[in-house]
Amino acid sequence: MEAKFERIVKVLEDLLREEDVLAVRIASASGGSIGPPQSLLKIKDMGVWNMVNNTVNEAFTIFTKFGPYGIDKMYLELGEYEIIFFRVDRRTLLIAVIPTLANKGLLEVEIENTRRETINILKSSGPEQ
Amino acid sequence: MQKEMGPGNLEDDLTEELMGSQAKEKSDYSLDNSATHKNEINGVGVGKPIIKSNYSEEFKINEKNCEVVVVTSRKWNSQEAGKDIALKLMEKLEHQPKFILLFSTIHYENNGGFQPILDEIYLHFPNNVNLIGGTISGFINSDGIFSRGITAMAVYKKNMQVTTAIGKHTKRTPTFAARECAKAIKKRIQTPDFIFSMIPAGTVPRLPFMKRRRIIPIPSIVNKTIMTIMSGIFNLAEYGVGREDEILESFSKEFQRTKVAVGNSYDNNNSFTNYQFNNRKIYTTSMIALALSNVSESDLIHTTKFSCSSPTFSIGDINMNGCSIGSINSKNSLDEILRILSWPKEYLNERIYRKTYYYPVGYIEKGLAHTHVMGLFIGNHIAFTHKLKKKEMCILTQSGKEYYEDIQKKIYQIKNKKNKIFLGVLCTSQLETLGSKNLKIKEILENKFFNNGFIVIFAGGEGSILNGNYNYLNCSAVLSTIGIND
Repeated sequence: MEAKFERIVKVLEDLLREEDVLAVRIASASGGSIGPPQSLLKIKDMGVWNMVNNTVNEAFTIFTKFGPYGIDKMYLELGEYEIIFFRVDRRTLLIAVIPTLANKGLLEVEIENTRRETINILKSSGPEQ
Repeated sequence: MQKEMGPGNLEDDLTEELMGSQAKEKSDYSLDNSATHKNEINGVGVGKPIIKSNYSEEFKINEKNCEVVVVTSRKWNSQEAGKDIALKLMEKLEHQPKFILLFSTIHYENNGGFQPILDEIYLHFPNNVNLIGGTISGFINSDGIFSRGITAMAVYKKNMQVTTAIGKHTKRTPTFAARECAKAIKKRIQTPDFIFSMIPAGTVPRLPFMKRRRIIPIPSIVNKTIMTIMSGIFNLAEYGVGREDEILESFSKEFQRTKVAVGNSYDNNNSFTNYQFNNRKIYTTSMIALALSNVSESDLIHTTKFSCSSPTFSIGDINMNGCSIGSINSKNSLDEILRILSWPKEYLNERIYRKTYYYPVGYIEKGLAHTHVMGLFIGNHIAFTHKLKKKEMCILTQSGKEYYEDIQKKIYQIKNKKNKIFLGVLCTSQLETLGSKNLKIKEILENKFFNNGFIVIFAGGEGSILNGNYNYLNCSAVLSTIGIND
């Protein structure tokens, strides 16, 4: 049986196949992350992606503080890019980068499906790695 | 087997183990497996995701004389997706279907094309199985909501008569296309009970200088000339507006006693291409239709719920088959619309369409909102998605809550739901503005049609014909049912 880690990577790689999804990963509050290989990312400005990865703790702080109010998603618009944070659980975020001019509503449907698949995988039985 | 969630639960530890770090605190996050989605419609509130087991959950009913199966494929490659759909249908069907409705997102255009999908289906089903469908921006069925993939509904009903038909060159000769399609239907079924049709949506040619552009600067001195030239070229080359009003006006004269539900085939909201499917063949500028008779009662509701949010204004300098305007209140249309909306000129950039979806132009007549989304800004002309039939317009507005409540109310009014299947056509603008919140529609339908079968497609525009009267609208919902249990 395929390990959960590999299954989650596959799900993220599937999302990355969407034309306007430029980068994606799952980040944990403890510092770990799961994501497709960097070679598959389509974001041209890696500085933006590196900044997202380096500041993800700030995102967790916001999610923790707004947790009692039911925070579920957060969007940041940075010039050419939009960074989308979807809450997987209290210590896990799904992070995606799309162009600002992308059809956001349609992409949001697939990012939501990715979140749900990730949760399903995490809940399922099977080896972790 | 699903695990119970709670403090210090296995999933939290598992997440940490996956990440390779120690857990610092316990998660009290619990995943609600109930079918009720508790998010507030306006996006604020407590969210607990609905957990679906997997995508391959098919639903069928199998009464003695009828059978309905709805399936989904999420494969990227078109041949694999076609095979996936065909095998899933075969697995569940006990009778040869009378017809298959097949809806696909545009992704397969660059992942093998659409022909392999149809070829795979007809590898598993006889050639006399009627199939129609087309590309759409997204769909909802019992598996969830998707903006990538294929869904199919296969229906068998004893004694039901079915035929398909096409009318070609809808953008060049819309009236002729409608008559051609109607004639082909009437050869087999003189007075159908129900027709479902797909019409190509308007398209913008993918030219180098127009690649994904919404704002096209043109000097005002040549603006009108260029609009006229573009209009002529587009008609000949079969790009540009869909001319749906002309099609439906002609079609409605042919079917005075038939309920007709119409959706525009579309792409992923870029308006570059779209395709229609009729049996094994693929079209780009044809109207296709599925006509049924000997069905028990069916329903057709076309609804919108908007209100005016600005004073009325007058439009003028109409071009592009009635779909573009060059003046508002006898002034430059671009400047005047910005003034009416109180938008600064800085908003006139490629991000403007993120706003224009929420501010359609239109009017309200007999309780129906006739909305027109501002699609392109060409010089000082504003091009809309379909024909503007009145000179007096206003800015229309609708909240997500109003949208859902209206649909829910109309669905609840449908009688005898347990004997019907549901086919809905919603506007892509709703998918774009509300995204995954459209799952609320799935909840409403599962509550009422769960045991039967339902598909909702997000199209480029919605039309209906009832009692010989037609409507073609944007940002609306066409809710139709087909009776299958006598």
